[in-house]
Amino acid sequence: MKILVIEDDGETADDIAHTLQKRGHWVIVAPDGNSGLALGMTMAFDLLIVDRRLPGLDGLSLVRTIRDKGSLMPVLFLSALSGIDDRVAGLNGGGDDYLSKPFAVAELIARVEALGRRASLGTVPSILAVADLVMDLVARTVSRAGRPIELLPREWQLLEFLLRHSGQVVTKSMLLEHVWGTRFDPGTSVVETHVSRMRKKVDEGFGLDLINTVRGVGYCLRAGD
Amino acid sequence: MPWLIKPYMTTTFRLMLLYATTLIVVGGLLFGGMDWLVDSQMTRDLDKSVLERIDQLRLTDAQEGIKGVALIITRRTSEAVPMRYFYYLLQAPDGHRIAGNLPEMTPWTGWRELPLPEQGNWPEDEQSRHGLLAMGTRLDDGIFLVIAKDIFDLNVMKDRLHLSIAAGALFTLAAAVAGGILISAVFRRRLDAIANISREICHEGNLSRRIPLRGNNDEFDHLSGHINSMLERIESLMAGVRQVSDDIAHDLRTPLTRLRRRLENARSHAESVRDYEIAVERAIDESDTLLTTIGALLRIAQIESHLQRGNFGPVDLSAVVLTIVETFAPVAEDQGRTLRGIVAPTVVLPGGEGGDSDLLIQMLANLVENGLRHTPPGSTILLSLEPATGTRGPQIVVADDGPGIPAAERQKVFQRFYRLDASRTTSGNGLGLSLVAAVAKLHRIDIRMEDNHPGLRVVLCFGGARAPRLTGSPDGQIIP
Repeated sequence: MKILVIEDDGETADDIAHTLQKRGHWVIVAPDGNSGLALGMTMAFDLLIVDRRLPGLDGLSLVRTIRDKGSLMPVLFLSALSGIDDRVAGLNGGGDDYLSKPFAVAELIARVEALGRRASLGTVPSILAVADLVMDLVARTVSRAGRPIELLPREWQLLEFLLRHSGQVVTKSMLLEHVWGTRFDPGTSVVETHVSRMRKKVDEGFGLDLINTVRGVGYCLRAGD
Repeated sequence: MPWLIKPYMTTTFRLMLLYATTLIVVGGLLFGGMDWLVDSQMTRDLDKSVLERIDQLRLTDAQEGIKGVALIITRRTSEAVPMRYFYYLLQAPDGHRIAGNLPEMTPWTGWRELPLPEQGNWPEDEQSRHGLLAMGTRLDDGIFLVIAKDIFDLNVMKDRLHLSIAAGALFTLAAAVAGGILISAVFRRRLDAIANISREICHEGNLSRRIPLRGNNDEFDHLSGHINSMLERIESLMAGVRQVSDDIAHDLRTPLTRLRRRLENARSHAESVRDYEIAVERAIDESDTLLTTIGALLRIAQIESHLQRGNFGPVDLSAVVLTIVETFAPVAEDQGRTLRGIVAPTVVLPGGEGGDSDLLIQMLANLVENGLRHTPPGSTILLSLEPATGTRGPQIVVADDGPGIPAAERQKVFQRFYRLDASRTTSGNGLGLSLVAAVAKLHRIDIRMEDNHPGLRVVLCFGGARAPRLTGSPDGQIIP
């Protein structure tokens, strides 16, 4: 992906650029709002990573400007402001995702690639499939190797999200956000518990484990390693 | 007693002045009206008496002729009456006077004012008040008749009235000003007392002082009571802030110290890259814990300062509780405990403000997690939602059958970082219940912790409202 990082803290910007480049993405860094806006408007990027606090034009205004000009480029906000109101303001202001500092690098990568995938999808598919696992979104059925699988509503939502991001690493906070609709982190292992029950139904007895745990980061649904 | 505001600048005084002016204006109109009424009445009477006499003399003229009229007039004007009120003139067409005590004059008809012919007969101080109101008319044969009356009485009455009005107005003004100053002074004394003490409290920074109450339950006592409530609130907030700062300093220092020690150990004792890797991993974990704790603290602070009301909307309590039950039931099972739910359907959050579903979910999650953490395996946690009844709003109960919390500690557990001695070593940072308290306060939820016989029973009552209290100084009376 072609990624524009607009961040005034040199160290942070370098870290992000380095990390993403190692993943094979092409990264440009802009050190302030005005140059970021200029670059964003003149070159085509697949993703913008924007710090909310910038010298010159601030992140929110920048994104609002490009949205007003009709751009649909996915935007990931970064911010030291971590309050719920700040997040809501960011998402309402045209952002697609919001990550507060300090963030784990793996979290950043997962969300960046999820945003990239989301943008490249054309129409919404009605069937999601990986290997012999098939999920029919219209008929609301799941089956593996032809055998139907009974899932509870929450388990269904988890599997659907993993399928939509198959091949990508999905972090626990992403699951909490999209499946439970909340950002707070419960102290206990809510996500692990539900995922483990779901993967038992999906993987046990089928030979190949489709749902893999990525230690310290999250989960990934894929066929093979 | 220092006058903090100049007397004439007080609102009381200004009001008094306004009131006095209004009184004077109204009074003036009243008196003026009375004056006019009396005046017109007396004038009418006077007119009538003159006209009657004219009619009478006309009759005489018709019956007995001019001679008869002249006789009557002569008789009337020759009576030795010291206070003469009526004056006559009977004048021939050629201008000579036939009878009467008025001088000859050019004939006219209608009402006229004339000067008194015998001015010198009256005492000097009265002379200006005398004057004649005369009616002139023509009899047959061109005879000119004038009958006039002294308007002395009228003038005297008028003068008296004007005097009364002036006196009245003056008295009103004096009373108003004096009253204004007096009442103003009374108010000032009460207000100054309150103002002085407020100033002293600000100056000294001593928030435990209160304004003394007089005890007569008047508006000043109420004002003082409200200020005292405010002071109490500020005092408790300050104490809270101090407490929080202490808590934070203490409870963040411990993990930070631990972190530092680990890194120091690594520096002195690590021998291989692997050793360093492990040390760095552990340091990151410790830092993450710290960051989570700080994040939670910030969250609680935000919630407590009511910044979250902007996200309020309608809340389906049944859905919220069901989400918690469905989310945590498997978690409880994995931990060897049971979570059950009894949820009444279609219960909504009462009140017009709404609430924040996310915060309420987090609050209940904390309570449930607390239950899981502090009960032994095999315990059951029951989460129930009851709809509103006639006497109270909807109610959520989180009850477990574990060891419970001793009555003495039930209030303290809501303090930040507070850990029961029995649970100092379990996981968790002790902030969970502080968050519960903050969210509850934001949504005006009443929390009660009770003994579940056995275990802990947390009752959350929705739709509570707290009425303001009045408090007095410690040595004064307390007004309910």
